[in-house]
This record gives sequence, structure tokens and C-alpha cells, in this order.
Amino acid sequence: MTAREKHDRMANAIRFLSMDAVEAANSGHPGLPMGAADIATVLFSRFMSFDPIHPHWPDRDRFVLSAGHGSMLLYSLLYLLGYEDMTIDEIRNFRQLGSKTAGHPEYGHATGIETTTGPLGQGLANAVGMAIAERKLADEYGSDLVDHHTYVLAGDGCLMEGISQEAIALAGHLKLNKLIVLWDDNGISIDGAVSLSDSTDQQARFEASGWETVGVDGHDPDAIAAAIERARSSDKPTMIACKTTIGYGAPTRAGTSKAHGSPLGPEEIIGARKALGWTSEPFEIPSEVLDDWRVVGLTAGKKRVAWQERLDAADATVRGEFERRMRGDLPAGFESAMAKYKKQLADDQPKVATRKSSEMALEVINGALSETIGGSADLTGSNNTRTAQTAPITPDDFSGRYLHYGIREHGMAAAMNGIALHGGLIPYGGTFLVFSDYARPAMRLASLMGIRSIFVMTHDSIGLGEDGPTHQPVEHLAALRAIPNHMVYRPADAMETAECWELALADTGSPSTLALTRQNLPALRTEFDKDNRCAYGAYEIASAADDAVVSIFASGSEVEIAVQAKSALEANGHPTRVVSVPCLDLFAKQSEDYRNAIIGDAPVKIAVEAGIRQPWDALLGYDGIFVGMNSFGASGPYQKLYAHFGITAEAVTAAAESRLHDHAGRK
Amino acid sequence: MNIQVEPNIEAAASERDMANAIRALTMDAVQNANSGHPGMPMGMADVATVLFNRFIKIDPAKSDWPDRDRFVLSAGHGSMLQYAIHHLIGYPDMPIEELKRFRQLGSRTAGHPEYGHALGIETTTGPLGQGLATAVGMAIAERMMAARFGPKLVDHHTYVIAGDGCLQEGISHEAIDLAGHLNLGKLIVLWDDNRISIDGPTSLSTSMSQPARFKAAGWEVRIVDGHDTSDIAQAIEKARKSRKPSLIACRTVIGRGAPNMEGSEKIHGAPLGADEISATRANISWADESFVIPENVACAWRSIAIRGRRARSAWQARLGSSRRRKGFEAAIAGGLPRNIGRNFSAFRKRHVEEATEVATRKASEMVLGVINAATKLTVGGSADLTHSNLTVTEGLGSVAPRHFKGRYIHYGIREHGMAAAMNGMALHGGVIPYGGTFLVFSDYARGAMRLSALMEQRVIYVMTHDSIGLGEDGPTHQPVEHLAMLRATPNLNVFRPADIIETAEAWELALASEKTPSVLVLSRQGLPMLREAHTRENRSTRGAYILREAMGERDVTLIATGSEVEIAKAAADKLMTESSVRAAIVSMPCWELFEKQSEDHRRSVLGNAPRIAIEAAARLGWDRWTGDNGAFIGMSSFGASAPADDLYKHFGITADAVCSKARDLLRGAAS
Ligand SMILES: Cc1ncc(C[n+]2csc(CCOP(=O)(O)OP(=O)(O)O)c2C)c(N)n1
Ligand SMILES: Cc1ncc(C[n+]2csc(CCOP(=O)(O)OP(=O)(O)O)c2C)c(N)n1
Ligand SMILES: [Mg+2]
Ligand SMILES: [Mg+2]
Repeated sequence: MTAREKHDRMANAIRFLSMDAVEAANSGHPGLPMGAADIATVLFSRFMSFDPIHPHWPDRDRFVLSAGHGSMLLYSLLYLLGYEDMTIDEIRNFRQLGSKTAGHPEYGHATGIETTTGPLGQGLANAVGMAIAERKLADEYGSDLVDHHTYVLAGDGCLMEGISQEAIALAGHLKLNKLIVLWDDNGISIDGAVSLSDSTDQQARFEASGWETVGVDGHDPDAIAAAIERARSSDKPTMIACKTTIGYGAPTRAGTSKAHGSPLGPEEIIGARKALGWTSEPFEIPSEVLDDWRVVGLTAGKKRVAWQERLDAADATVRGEFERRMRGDLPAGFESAMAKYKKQLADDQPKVATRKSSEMALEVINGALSETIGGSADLTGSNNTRTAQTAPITPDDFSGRYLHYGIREHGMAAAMNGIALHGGLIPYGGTFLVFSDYARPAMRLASLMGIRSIFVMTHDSIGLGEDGPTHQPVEHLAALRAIPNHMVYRPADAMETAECWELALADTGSPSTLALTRQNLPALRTEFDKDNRCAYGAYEIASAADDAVVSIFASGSEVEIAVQAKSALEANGHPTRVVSVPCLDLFAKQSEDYRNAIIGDAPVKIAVEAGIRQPWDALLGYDGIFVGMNSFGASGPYQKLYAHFGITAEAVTAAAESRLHDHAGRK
Repeated sequence: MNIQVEPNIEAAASERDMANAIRALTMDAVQNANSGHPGMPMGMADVATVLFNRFIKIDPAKSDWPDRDRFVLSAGHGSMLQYAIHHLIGYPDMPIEELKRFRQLGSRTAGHPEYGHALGIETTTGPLGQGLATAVGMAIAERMMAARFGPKLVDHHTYVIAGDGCLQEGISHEAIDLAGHLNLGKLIVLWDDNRISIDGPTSLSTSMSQPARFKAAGWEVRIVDGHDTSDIAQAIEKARKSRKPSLIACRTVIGRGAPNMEGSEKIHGAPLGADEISATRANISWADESFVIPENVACAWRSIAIRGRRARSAWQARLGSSRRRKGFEAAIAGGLPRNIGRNFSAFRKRHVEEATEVATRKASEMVLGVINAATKLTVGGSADLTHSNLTVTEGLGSVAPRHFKGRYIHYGIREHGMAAAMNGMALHGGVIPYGGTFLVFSDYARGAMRLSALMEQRVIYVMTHDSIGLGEDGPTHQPVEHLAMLRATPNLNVFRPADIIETAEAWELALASEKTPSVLVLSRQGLPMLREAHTRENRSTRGAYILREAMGERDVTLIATGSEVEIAKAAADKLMTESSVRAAIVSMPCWELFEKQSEDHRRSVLGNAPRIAIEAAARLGWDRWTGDNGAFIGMSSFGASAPADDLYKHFGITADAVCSKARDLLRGAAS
């Protein structure tokens, strides 16, 4: 048998598993796996380093299926290569509840899935982060331990999405030459021909971004191999435009949008079997073909053995540190460094903006942790994300620990996800809270994947002042808190900021957003506490003089207002308690008893936050009072805005007293 | 139109003086506010002066003249450029006092240009990239209106000033690809190529060849010295003749004129300080006091308005004698045909009678059939999900390069660009844009959707596949938190209709909401008919209503939206037959409208019995309606990949779950 024949039947194995699985599920996308089967076969059989038996091997090549709708391509590969958890039953259960073979590849559902894809463009942008992490760790640990490629299979949709521009611009700038993008250039998307909506010369576009490009016939294995070979020796990232036919092999649907996202139907599948000379039953792979694939899996694994020997031979501390970082554990000594810092805060009681508090905390964190990697979307001096330890990374020097992501919030967030997924590093990155809107799709994926990306979102309310409503978040706290598994912290002073940072870093299963002020805030927590009080999500920061008749709940900059209102109310004879709520998400996770105790039974409940009411409804119920925003903001000095929008201690006091008055009247 | 390529002769002041007037006003206003961004206006003063002095067709006395050129300051932080020009040209609402109140509460001169705050601000900018993408929509609308009403009535340019930030943002990619694809030759982008952004030189984060990138997207590109007025003018002149959209890369120095700060990021976003201002005055030979403009310079600027006024008069005459006048004016007014209400009512009546049972996305398509036949204003589209969103109707015809007679736009896989383009179309006037994608991808479009709300534009988002009900595509495609996010946005009406009748009602309300964008949240899966009888009244108008009252006094109130109203109804029936529990069913298609009702009305709908809300989405915000002793049945995590029915069971969003929750509540209330 010729090499070509062997290739063809290996590729056809992908095609038929994909057709069969989609047919059985009566749902799914056969077009991409069938069209890109040749590319994937060449890539995995000739180039990829990985080990199905040790899927988490740190120095494996990363393969990212950015066109996630083509999930059956990936599942087929994983099965064929011998990943243990990807059995044929999983393939048969494609898209069924509880299977590992979800509609789109879900990180954590099966080994070998490097990232969750489906929302187009994300995988490509994650891969940029992975490639950054590779370069960074190679710089730290040397090419003996870190030397791998990141391959991406992207479709037309990935390249049309705006995020792709942010991603490729950053990759081109940083000369991420071990990033190789295979573009499934099939000229088809859902609405029909790509020419309905696009006339862009993609190769020219990538070249403009500092990439190498080459165009090949995506069904010619040797041409694909030659292109990948060339890409691997380039000093730039490479985009390989692979001209393919969507649904290759399907007699009537190939080359049309009909192959994109629905089962082919029995007749079409019979036709494909004929056209491709495939005689096996559905879900059956001829043993010679399966053997060919399994040999690929076994051979690829040999590289891992050599790597393990190198790791074993490495200096014990280097090895220990490398392994710790890959596990994602924080180093011994971190806790004590933070404790020392918090004691200092209790002494100093600084009156600073929480963005500044964050910088102060980061100064300690970045000193104690070698794995943090900071950055900002062109707002470094505003987000206060850079510290003494974090020199910038440049195209030719990755010894730094800071990324100037450019004005690319979405690309930044997705790259951070890629860095976190790669392992060995903890990414944090900043922008204005309002521009979380631009980064949202990637922030959502961080939550869905349960990874430790830390978003430093400053300028968190009308408190930013003159920049006006386009820059003033109003609904963003609600929008982020609504995301499952997304921890939103809004600390009230330097002590809380330090605590929130500790929580964010310790949380290996959730991303965090720190919402921080531009304006200065007083120190409210003036004593050192061994217990991290923010860990409860909400706690009583000031207790009432007597049995409380008013409970005020507040977060961030509004805790100061709450405390002032408390003084005023108590001066008027109304015992009032103040609950600081740095994290509603964590509060929701506390025991029923704790929550009831914190919510308390004061007859008047008021929440204060310079945002929209919604997140507070669960605390307030139908009758509670909310002091905050119910419209967009305005441009003006911030003190005037607080007064204009009625978010003041006076307003809180008046609202409480008026309600107390009503209650008295009712009795 | 007669364009003057040579500078205005009668004006004694040079364009350099005119540009320096912008610089001086900018420095003064930023200094006065002790806040703002002087660098960009000072750097682009020469380019803006040439553009306005020689080309732009506007009439400050009639700032909403439909055939004016559109000027979009995409780099919105440079707002003082726009305010200075507006003052100098003589917009009646931009006296010098407004410049003195730059960035103060209640002034027209907000930190970033806010649409509606002052005449001539064509769109709100500040979030980078939006202006550029909005301008693409304006340029599309121009072509469509020209195709409909002819070049005598519609023939104008859209000019954009964009900065490095605008071009780094991903949305710019979506925008320029779409513009290039559609050959929007009358779109001209002036790029402030100053190689500086906030963190420092742009070389910190980019090595992009923007000219090559724009060429790859099908644009014509020219590179000029942004301080050489004749170079700039020639490039604009050529760009105006191009059949492709044009990028003019204007090599500039940020903060040009400030001797110690120009060319550095330090001048991007902070006042120059008194010393640097004096030094700049000396440097540019500007003797006048702050906020004072020499008469000859003022005169030169004001004469620009004369050219605009003439052009407008000529246009007015053409309109007067045009047989298309009526149609044109009606389109610009944006009104709907008077009989459309009757059409909606007839549609609802028929479908109640026929008990039509369809997915609400399908219902939306059927309603659109009525709407698109009744008015020519609507322009549909989708981000490559036409047959999933069901946004196209018979005979709309597609917009394609050189073919703008159609009314359907294939936006490509560009949700953000689509939303921003729709903003631009709505702002341009003459069209009512609606566009579709999956609800979960509202995340991608958020940046622009927020601006629809802030600018109070009638943009209609058709967001289908609205919950786990979409099934197998799994958690990446299943919205959970999106309803909460959209409802949290001020001035955005979120409709989640429960059947074809509510879908028609939602569309009717969305079209009538001239100052509020709407999101129609629609199911993939089929839904039953819930209304029992036709009502003349649009029952969704008040946001929520009692779909079915309890038989006798209420024991419990079930509140639901969209696909979950069916579940509420099944639960109510079950509660009655199995436990003699009397449940009222409230359908709540639009929170925002319900919130606007009187407290009394709201109480009368919600009732005093314990309440259970049912929605296949996150709980956030529902407690407002369920109250202290209420309960919620919905999602508390991301979804999963499986057939829809399996998922509803798996996540416990079923009539049985509602019933057992109701019994729990009643037991609790009794004890
Ligand atoms: C952000 C985002 N928008 C929309 C979709 C819906 N969608 C899935 S595949 C697809 C078309 C993709 O076209 P292409 O990448 O060319 O894939 P092909 O049809 O060639 O497989 C669309 C619009 C999505 N998954 N993600
Ligand atoms: C979407 C978005 N992200 C971030 C910002 C904050 N921001 C305002 S201006 C700016 C830098 C812009 O650089 P450039 O466009 O080159 O403007 P220049 O400094 O040249 O005036 C940034 C990051 C913003 N306004 N919008
Ligand atoms: Mg394609
Ligand atoms: Mg710049």
C-alpha cells in the first residue's frame, strides 16, 4: 500500500466516525471534520508531540480546534489515537447528556481537549496565550523542559470575528513563531458562500500582521506536510491557508453549506461510502486502520519518555519549582508574605484608591510568586497592574513578566485564558470595568472552563468622573455576577483588596474579576485579622449600637457611604449595622445560617452600590431599599455625580428614616 | 456639489491659523476642566481643518439635514476636537461658555462626544472602534437610501477620524472587512497615525502594517504627512473619487505644538499645565488669551458654514421638486404606516383562532413577513445565521457590492460589527435595522448594544436559541446569564415572548419604541398557543399580565417568561388536579415595561400569594418579583450538551419541579 493510500484511509476513518456520530445524534456538524480530515491526519501522524497515556504532559504540543463546531474531528482523533477516556461508546453517545463528547469540545470533559471552543475566534486567541506561555516558560526553564508548538485549526468564521484580529496582531508582534494556524479555507459558512459577506485577502491580512503565510491544497498530504515543515522553521507565526472542500466525500453536499451543520442522511452517507471506498459498518474502523492510528499515538509518546529523563536529571529545586507551578499550587511563604503585608496595612491605614491598593498587593504577590504574569490593554498606569518585578515582555525578550496587550481587551482575556490553560503561569490583566463588555465572551469561557484568569477591572463606577457614561459601568457588576462560576470582588479598602487578591489567587477553579475604584477610599478595616473576612463574601464591618433597626449592605466605594450613614442614623437614635459585601458570589455559597445571620432581621434593609439594583434583589426582597444607579451615568467631577445620582450618606439616611417612619405609622 | 479644493480665498487666516484655533481651545478647555485629552485634537487639528474647510458638507443651522456628510470622531477621547470645531463653525448650541464647561455636569461638552447632547454629534464615541464600525452602518444606509431615492436626494460622504486604538480593537476588523466587501466608496477614514497610545509608543504592542491590512480588506490606502495641508487635501480629494472605501494614514505628532510634550504619551490624556500652555502659545505664535479666537480666524471658520448652507438650499430645492419627496420625508421621519396596527391585530387574531404552535423564532419570521410587507423601512440581517434566526422574509433581496436595493444584509460572522453597523443605520435615518444572532453571542455584540441603549436608537436585536432549549450545541451556545445582563442595561427593552401572539406584540412594541432599542429573545424549540382569546389590546404593553387567574383565591402565583410559560401552565393544571392548589399564571414578557407600571398595578398582577418564578436562566434579579418568600426555578450553572427535553429534566425545570416547590412554599406558609 502506498503512503497515500494509508493516509487516505486514516483520514477517511475521521470522516466516517464524524458522519456516523452526527447521524446517530441526529445533530452536529459533519462538514468541517470531513473537509479538514486530511489536514488533521498529516498534522497528527507526522508532526504532533503528545502522549495519549499522559495527556497532561507539560511539554506536549497543543492542538486547538478553534472551529469548535467541528468537534467530531477532535473526538475522532482522540479515539483513534488511543486516548483512554475516548471510547467508541463516547463517540456513539455524541451530544448526549453525560457523555464526554459534547456538541462542542468542552475543556475538562475529556483529556486531549486543550480548551473549550465553539464561540468562533476564541480558540485562535487562546492559542496565542498558550504560545506566549510556552515562550515564557522556555525562557525560564530552557528548551530541555519547554519546547513545543501550538497548532490551531481555524475556519472562516474564526477569521471574520474581530477577536482574530486582536489575536493575530499580538502574535505577529511578539513573533510567536511556534504558533501555526491551519485555516480551513473552504469558502463556505452557514449562510452560504463566504463571498456573500467577505472579500478579504486573508493571507495578505496575516502578512500585514507580521505572519508568514502559505497556501496549499488542503487535500494534498505532502503539500500540507511541506507547509507545516516550513512553518516550523519560520521565525514568525505561520498561517497555512488550506484550500478544502467542506464535507469532502459527500456526493451531493460537499462544497455547500448543506454539509455544515446537519446530519447528511442515510442516502448521502451511502454515497460517501461509495465515493471513498469505505465498507465498514457505522462506528467500525477496520483494524489495520485503527492500528495505523494507534501506532501514531504510541510513537508520539516516545518523546515524552526522553523529556521525562531530562526533567529527572534537572536540578532538584528547579524540578520542584517546575512541578509546583505546573500543578498550580502557590508556594510556601506566600501566606506569610501576605500576613506581613496585612499587618503593615493595619498599621498604615492608607487612604488610597483600591486600584492603588491592588498595585500595593501585587507588589507583594509578584515578589512572592514567580508565576504571575501581568498586563493591561493599554491602561497600565490607570489599572496599576505593573509592579517592580514585572518588566515588559518584548518580541525578542521573554524574560519579563508583563504584557502590553495593546488596545485589545477581548484578545487579552482570551490570551489570558490560554496562558492559564497552558499551565505554569497565573495571568492577570487590566482594563476599565466598562470594557469588560469587550472581553465578555472570553471571560465567560474562563468561567465555563473553571480556570484561574484574574481580571483587574478599574474605574468601577461613576466614581471615575469626567469621562462620562461611555466609561462608567452601571450594569457591569450585575452582568458579571450573573455569570456562573465567576467571582466578582469589589473591595472597600486596602485590606479588603489584599484579601480579595488572596482569594483570587487561591481559587484554582474559578476566574475572578476585581472591580476597583479610581477614587481614593479610607481604610475601614484597621485591624489585622488572621481570618480572611472577604472569604465569607459578606460580613458585618460595623455593628449596631443596640438591636439594629437598619441594616446597610454595601460594596467597594459605597461602604464608606454606608458607614457615614450609620453614624448619622445612630446619632438620630436608630441603631444601624453595616455589612460589607465584597463578593456576592461567595456569600451565596455560605451556609444558610451564616447568610441569615448576616442578612439579619432589622426591619429596614438598604443596599448601596453605584451600579444597577438587580444583584441586590436577593438580599433586599420586594421591600428593601436600594440606593444606586437606575440609568446611565454622566460626565462631571465624581463628587458631583454622586450627589446628582443621590448616592450619598444623606440619601441613605433619609431613605432609612422615611421607611422607619412608615413602619412606625403602620404600627 | 461644488467642492473647493483650494482654501477659502476671502478668508485671510491660513489653515494653519485655523488649526491652531483648535489647538488653543483644546488646551484651554482641558486645562480649565483639569481633565481631558489634549493630544489627539492638537495632533489632528491640521487634518480636521482641511477636512472641514475644504470638503465637509454640513449646515450648522440645520444640523439634521438628511443629506449632510457624516463626521464621526471614532477616537472619542479627542472630544475637544469636535467641540472646538462646532464652536468655530457656529453650531448655535456650542457657544464658548460650553467649552468653558467642558466635562462639567449638565454641559453639552461631556468627556466624550455624546449623541443628543449637542447638535452635529452624529454618534456617541469613546469606547474605541465603535465610531468606525458605526460609520460603516451610516455609509451602508447612505447607499441604500441613494438606491431608493436617487443621488439627487442622497449623496453624501461619511468621514471618520480613527486612532491607533480604534484600529487595534477587533471590531475594526469586522467593520473594515464589511466595508471593503460592500465597496463603500464614500466612506473615508482618516487615521491619526501618531504611533502613541496610553502605555507609550504603539511599538510596545503592535507591529501591524495598517496600510497592508486595509488593502487586504479591499480598501484604497494613501499615506500623508498629517501636518501638510495640501498633502492631506489631495489625498481626501482622491479618496472621494475612489470606488472603494479609503484609508488615509495621516502621519501626525500627538500634541503637536506643545514643545516639551508633543510626541509623547504624556500629552494623551492630561492637562498640559500652565507652563506648557504658555510655551505652546509661544511656539505656535498664538497671542490671544484663553478661550479667545482672533476675528479673522473665527471668520474663516464661519465661512465654512456658508458653503454648507448653499449646498443645503440647493438640495432643498431638489427635494421640493422631486416626485420622491413624500416617500423620502416619510422614510426620514421613520414613522410606520398607519394601518400597521391593524395588520398586527389581524395577525394576532388569526393565529389565536388557528391556535398556531411554533417556535418563537419561527413566529418572529411570520411577523416579519407582515412588517416587511407593510413598510420599506426595515432592513434585516444576520451574523451568518439567517436560517437559524429566521430573519429573512420573502422578497427582501440581499444587499451586495453595487447592489443596495435589497433590504437584507449578510453581515458575516461579525456580531459586534453588525450591532455597531445597525447603530449607524439607525443614526443615519431612513431605515429601521434589525439583525440576528444566537442570544449567547450577544456577548460579542455587547459593546455596541450598550451604545444603542445609551444613544436611544431604535435598533432591534433578534436573538434566537435563547436557553438550554437549543439542546445539543451545549454550554458554549446556551445562554444562562444573558437575560440578566441585558435586563441590567438601562434603556434596553428585553422581550421574551411565550408564543406567537406575544411575539407579534413584542415586535409591535419594538417598532414603536423610537428611543429604546429592543432585544427579542426567541426560542429554537416549538411552543404552544397560550392565549385563549384574541384581545384588541396588546397585552405585552404593560410588561406582564395575568395569563390565567386562579379559580378562586390564589394560593400561589407562577411567573414565567418565554418557553417556561408553558411549564407554568402545566404546573398550574397539575396543582389543581393533584392538590387542589389554586395557581395564577403570570406571563412576563418584558421586565422593563412592567417596572414602569404603577406599584398598584404591579401588586395586582403579582398578587399576595407566594410566588414562583420560572425561567431557564440565571436567577439574578428575579427576587425583585418573587419577594421575600418566593422561589425560583431556573439555572444555577452553565448548561450541558444533550437533547433539549433531557436538559430541562436534568436541570429540574419541569412542571413537577414547580409543583413540588409550590407545595413546599405552601407548607412553609402554613406552618
Ligand atoms: C461567535 C460565534 N458566532 C456565531 C456562531 C455560530 N456559527 C457556528 S459555525 C458558523 C459558521 C462558521 O463558518 P466556518 O467557520 O466557515 O465553518 P464551516 O462552515 O466552514 O465549517 C457560525 C456562524 C458561533 N459558533 N460563534
Ligand atoms: C474600548 C476601549 N478600550 C480602552 C479605552 C481607553 N482608552 C482611551 S484612549 C486609549 C488609547 C488610545 O490610543 P490612540 O487611539 O492611539 O489615541 P491617542 O493616544 O493617539 O490619542 C485607551 C486605551 C477606550 N476608550 N475604549
Ligand atoms: Mg468555512
Ligand atoms: Mg495614537
